[in-house]
This record gives sequence, C-alpha cells and structure tokens, in this order.
Amino acid sequence: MYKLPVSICFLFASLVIALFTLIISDGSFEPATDSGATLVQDLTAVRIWIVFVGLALYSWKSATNQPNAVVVAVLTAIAWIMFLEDYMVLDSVLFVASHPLAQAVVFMRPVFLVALTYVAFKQWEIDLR
Amino acid sequence: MKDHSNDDLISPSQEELDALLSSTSFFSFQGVRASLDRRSPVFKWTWLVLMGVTILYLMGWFTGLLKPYMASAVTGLEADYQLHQVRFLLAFILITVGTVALNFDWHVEETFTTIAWIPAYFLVSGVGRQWRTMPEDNLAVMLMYSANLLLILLLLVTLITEERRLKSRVP
Repeated sequence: MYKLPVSICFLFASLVIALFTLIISDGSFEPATDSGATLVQDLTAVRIWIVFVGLALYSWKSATNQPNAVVVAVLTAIAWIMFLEDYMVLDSVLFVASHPLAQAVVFMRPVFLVALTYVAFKQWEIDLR
Repeated sequence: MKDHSNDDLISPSQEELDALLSSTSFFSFQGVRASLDRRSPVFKWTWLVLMGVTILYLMGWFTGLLKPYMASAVTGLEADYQLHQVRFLLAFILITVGTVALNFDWHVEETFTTIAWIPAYFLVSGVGRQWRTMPEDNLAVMLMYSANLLLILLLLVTLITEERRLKSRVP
C-alpha cells in the first residue's frame, strides 16, 4: 500500500518537471494576464527547485535508510501551502491548462496531495518503530 | 446470592493500573508554562519574543499601520494583498500547531523544523518575485519584508537548536 502513494508522488513530480521543461523550451505557453507573466516565471522556477531538491533528498535518504519523516513532513506542508495559495489567490494567474501536460498536472494535484499526506503519516510510523 | 469472585478476577492489578496511567504520553497535556519551565531560558525568551512579534503584527494589521509597508501598497495588485492575507493565516495556523506541540510536549523539534521551512519558502518566493516586480525606489519595502521573515526564521532556528540541546542532555 505504501508504494502506490510514493509512486503517485514520483509521477506528479515527473509531470511537473516535464511541464517546466516544456515551458522554458517552448514559447507557446502564455499566462492568463500580462501581470501574471513574471509570476509564472518566478513561482514556477522556485517551485521546480523545491520539487527537484525534495525528490533528490527523499530518494537519497530512502536509498541510505536514513529517517525520512521530517523531510516528507516539510514537503507536505509546503505542497499544501502552495495549493492553498494557488486555489485562493493565484488560480487565474498561474496556468492556462490547455496543454495536455498542464491538464494532467492540474488533474493529478489533489491525488498527489492526498498521497503525499499519506506518505508523511506512514513515514512517521516507520521512523518511530 | 451474587458471587463477587468473578469481579475480583477481572479487576486490574496495581502494576496494570500504573502501566495504563504511565502510557498516556500522547494525551499528556501540561500547559505551555510547564513545558517552558522544563526548557532553557533562551528557549523561553525566544518563544515569548515570537509571541510578541505575532501580537505586534496583529496590532499593526488591525490599526492599519502596516498597510503602507506591504507589497500590495507598492504594486497595487489585489493578488499581493490576498497572498499576504493567506500567508499570514497559514503562519498563524503553524504557530497554533507549534503551541499545541509545546502544550503536549510532542515532537517539538520536528514540529518547529517543519514550521521553519514555511517562512523559508515565503522568503525565497516572496523576495524572488519582488526583486523583479518592484520599482527600484521601493527597495525599503522589500528589505522590510525580508527582515520580518528573517527575524521569524531566526527565532524558529533558535527554538530548534535549544530543543536539540535539551534532547541531547536528557537521555
């Protein structure tokens, strides 16, 4: 059961990295408003680094059998905060979900959040054993 | 006549009662004062300063003193104003989570470590964005924003360090 949510998290991270690669390589992605252009660039750049560092740190700690609970807890808290920020404030600014990859990211996001939260709780259980 | 011998058999022994009462650490509410008394004076004062900063912020917000120093006052964007509100609400929830962890003395170091990364994210994303969007003559607003978050981060890191020191002393 634990492996499925972890796979969902890795799949979502891969989609986000792929989307970011597409954004920086292809000029066809246009933000919803002009003022949103800088927001898209800056927030996406910050977030992609969080995804990349989080993924690398989790993989490294898992591979070396080190306690992972705090790392996953931090990533879960940040993921929920980003989601709340996007949902409550930046919803119309960030993405035009016309591209299939962007649609996949938007569709996967709630599933990813639930999976990550499950992994965080499960990791506490594993580390406390 | 009712036989009471069965009642005696199922009544718990003193050892069992002691074991039951001693295994309630998850629900051991003890209050912030009792929890702070167990910790170092540095931890205690840092916590009080953190609470003081939170109260000062609330006072500044409700009296309108903070508004000219907010990013939305310079950019004029409604999104900046809303983002500020959402971020403060989230930070306030995290302070509440920290207080609850302190009340129950439950994974205080881990809780504050998780909390500390949130202002770090606010600092990096906020400063990064303002660096590009703000006019040059409003550098003071950005410095104010950074200083506020750096102060909160510093206080949280002090709490984590002190808690780690306490844990290393107590086996």
